[in-house]
Amino acid sequence: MKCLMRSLEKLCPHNMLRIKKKFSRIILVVGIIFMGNLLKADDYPARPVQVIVPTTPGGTFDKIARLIQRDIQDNQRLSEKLVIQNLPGAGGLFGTDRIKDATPDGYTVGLWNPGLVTSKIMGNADYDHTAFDIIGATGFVGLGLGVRDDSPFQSIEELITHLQNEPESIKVATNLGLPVHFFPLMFAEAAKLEFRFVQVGGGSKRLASILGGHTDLGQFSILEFENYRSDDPDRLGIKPLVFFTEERSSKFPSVPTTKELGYDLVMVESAFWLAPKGMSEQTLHVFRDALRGAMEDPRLVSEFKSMGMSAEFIEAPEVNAFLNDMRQLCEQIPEDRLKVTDVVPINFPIAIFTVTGACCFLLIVQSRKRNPTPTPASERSSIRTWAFLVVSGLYIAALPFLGFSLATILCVALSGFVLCGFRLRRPDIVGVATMTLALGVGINVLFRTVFKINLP
Amino acid sequence: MPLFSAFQEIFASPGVLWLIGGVMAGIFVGAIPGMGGGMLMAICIPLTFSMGPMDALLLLMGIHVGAVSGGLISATLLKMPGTPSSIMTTFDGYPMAAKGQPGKALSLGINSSLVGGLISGLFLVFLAPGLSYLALKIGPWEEFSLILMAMVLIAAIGQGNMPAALLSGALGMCATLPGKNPVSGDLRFTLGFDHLNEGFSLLSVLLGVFVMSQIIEDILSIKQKGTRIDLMMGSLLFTINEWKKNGVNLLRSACVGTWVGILPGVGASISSMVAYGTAKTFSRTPEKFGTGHEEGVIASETANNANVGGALIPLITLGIPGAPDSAILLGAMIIHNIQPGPLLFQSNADLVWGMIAGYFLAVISMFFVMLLSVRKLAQIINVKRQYLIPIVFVFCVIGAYVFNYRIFDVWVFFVFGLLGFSLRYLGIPLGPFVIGFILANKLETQLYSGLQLSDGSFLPLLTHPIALLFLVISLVMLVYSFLYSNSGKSKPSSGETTSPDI
Repeated sequence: MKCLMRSLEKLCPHNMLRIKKKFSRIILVVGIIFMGNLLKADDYPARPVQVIVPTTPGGTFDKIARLIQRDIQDNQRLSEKLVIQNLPGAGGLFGTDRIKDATPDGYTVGLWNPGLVTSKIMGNADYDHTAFDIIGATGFVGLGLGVRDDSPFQSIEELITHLQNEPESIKVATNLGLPVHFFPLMFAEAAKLEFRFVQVGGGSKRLASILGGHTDLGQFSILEFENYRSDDPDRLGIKPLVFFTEERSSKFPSVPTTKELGYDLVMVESAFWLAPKGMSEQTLHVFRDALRGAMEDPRLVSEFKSMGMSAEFIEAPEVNAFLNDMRQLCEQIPEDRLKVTDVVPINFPIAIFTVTGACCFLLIVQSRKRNPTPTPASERSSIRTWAFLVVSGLYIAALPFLGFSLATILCVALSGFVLCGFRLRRPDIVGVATMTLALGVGINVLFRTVFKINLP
Repeated sequence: MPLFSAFQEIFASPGVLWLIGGVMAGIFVGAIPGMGGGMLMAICIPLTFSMGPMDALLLLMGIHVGAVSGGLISATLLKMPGTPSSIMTTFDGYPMAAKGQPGKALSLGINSSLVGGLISGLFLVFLAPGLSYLALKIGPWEEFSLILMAMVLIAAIGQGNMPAALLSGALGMCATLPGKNPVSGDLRFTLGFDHLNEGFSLLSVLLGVFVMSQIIEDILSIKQKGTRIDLMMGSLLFTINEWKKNGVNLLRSACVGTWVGILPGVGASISSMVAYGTAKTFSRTPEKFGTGHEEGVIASETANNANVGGALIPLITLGIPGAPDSAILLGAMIIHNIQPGPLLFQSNADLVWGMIAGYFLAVISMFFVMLLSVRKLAQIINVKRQYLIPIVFVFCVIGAYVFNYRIFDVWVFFVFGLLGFSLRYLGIPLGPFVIGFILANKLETQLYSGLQLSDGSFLPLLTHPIALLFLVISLVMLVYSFLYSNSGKSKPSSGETTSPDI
């Protein structure tokens, strides 16, 4: 700004006062408009709303968010659009952390599944659904337990009888700490059975484990049972034995529900929309209206149905009640049933440290015999290296504060300077400058506009 | 045959443009250290919403194939792997280029990539269903002994300085310790850092250890006027003699790559490691590995491309992704209303043949695009280091950040860069570090899973035939390489090391 003013002054000094006055008037007007916008709180949303999805792009959960995003945009249910940001990791905790800690101004929301409750009980998270304002839930899909097609158990009753005679003889593929662990465990508690849980991992791995005959039983959604059903005797698929739903599934009419068996267990996979605590009632109201409208749209309903999900908007009080009930049931599970007994005789970390220590020892012994050749010091530019390391370290530290563009511009310019030997000759200046601008500004623009990714 | 009509369909539609565009983008991004195919695929998924499912899959497939091959370029010319799958290529590709034969290195890489891709494609077409059911038989014990076998390769890659290699591997294993105990889910060694709950992210560690440490190394030697590498390359195609000489290696590495790719959860970097180690064990000149030996480049590049095709097999036949990057394809399929599973072939035969045809086309276009563009892309080696280094560094920062949107990962990248450099300085090879890091976690998980299944008994190792087979092979290879290293190896003369500082 100052340079601009100074150069303007040099050109026409007598106009300077006029220009200064004009500028201040413009700034005043802009300021008033800006303040006005701040005061117009009931104009939510006034800019795009960020929706955090704690999974990688693609997959059912992400798809739910994107279907709703598209519906809201196509039907203009909100005055601005939704922007999806995928934050995978830590079994969903990275994403839910971010939602929880966001400013409750209505411009950051997110969604997650019952893992919210189970993570806290497992001890992986120190919060659960009570740390959020629940907006509501969009759709749910029924879950059930299933076995491989050629399993000796044709029905759940046979399985239960077998387990009553031989407890712990059935191996359940699971992912410890997540709903696929808890729900079967709750079923086992209710039916007074003992499963043997085996840590396998995510959906694909559990399917592979059962299909490969390594484990006997697993929890899957109705949709997954449909997809992995196989009528071909040469190709094995999986078949459900019982569903944790209110009513029987139309796709599997012969499979009973837990309610029919006498257990009051209804467990579903659902997308719970979450907002950081403290959002105003009005903002919540606007967003809920949009979601409600979306879930009534016939096109969306049919898309959900083809995913095997019911298309309903479930209001916040009902969602809270469901999650509270679930938490209560989970808390009733005795602690020792949660943890899988440690069967391993080897303590891995100790083993690794011992090996490391032994190798160090061997190495030291060996190096006494050899003479390493030092490279001539003049050939090694240590100062530049240290300087670069300092610059780059500061760059990383500065990223969250200065933002990508500014930090990168500074870093690249400085490191260009450092690497060129602390002095810049003419040709280098052009090169460094282009590089700085291209990296600092160009990349940021590219990522923001084309890929919709926000760099720090 | 439905495959041919699938080919025709692709050519008739705009899909072929998406495919070739994807291949080009993939090669370009794969060549940039810090950015990989997985990242590009993930960020392109939202872009594909307005496309039809076939076009979307062709685009993503193109990127996938292109990126794995693109990594070859920076691995060979800059000694920085462009993607994790090209780590092994740096071991022999770079020394070859440094000795003044960049063209040969690139030619080896490109031709090997083609062969690897095509052979795994053949497996895909003819043997898919059978292979995938075989793959399902791989349970925790089988994976455990398979990983043991892969770890034996630490000895094979060790290049004579066994204690250093073992230490490097052990340090890599130490680096996987922070995080969750695979069985109980309890946290260990996180020192109160929430961010360490998942352990160090693989990408940050790899980028740090290989690329950042190389950057530091490059700055240190920046004053040394590097010899301007002559980029006048002859023909990049193999001659008949070269085909004959390397035929066995090509075939074997392609098979290794395909089979490792079929195993769910194992990625391209492991397949190239296994192929490299196998090639070295069975080679007549194992001591040349690591100094710019063509067998090394061939093994690595064939396997990592074969891995892509291999990973498609369980994806198409069972709906289970064989590698992390193909999991992204799975996600894309779901978003486009394609339900993967054993019934995919029946319900969506056109799509499946389209994907297979697309894969072949991607491999072939990759070959041609590489041939045409590699001379230009190779100019990168003559860009002044002063410019190259900040550019690569910024891309690495972006790549590390975009993985999980955390600054912590960028710090991990930085710190492991310093660590990697210290290892180099002490003459400790980096390869085993990475092997230890990638495999230790899996080893532990599979051992625990296996013991959970067998209720604490180690007996399945002997009773499961496949597990026993891998165990026996590991022992054989261990003994073999031990014998070999004691017989015809030349001792390093004082003041000069034959094995490069990898």
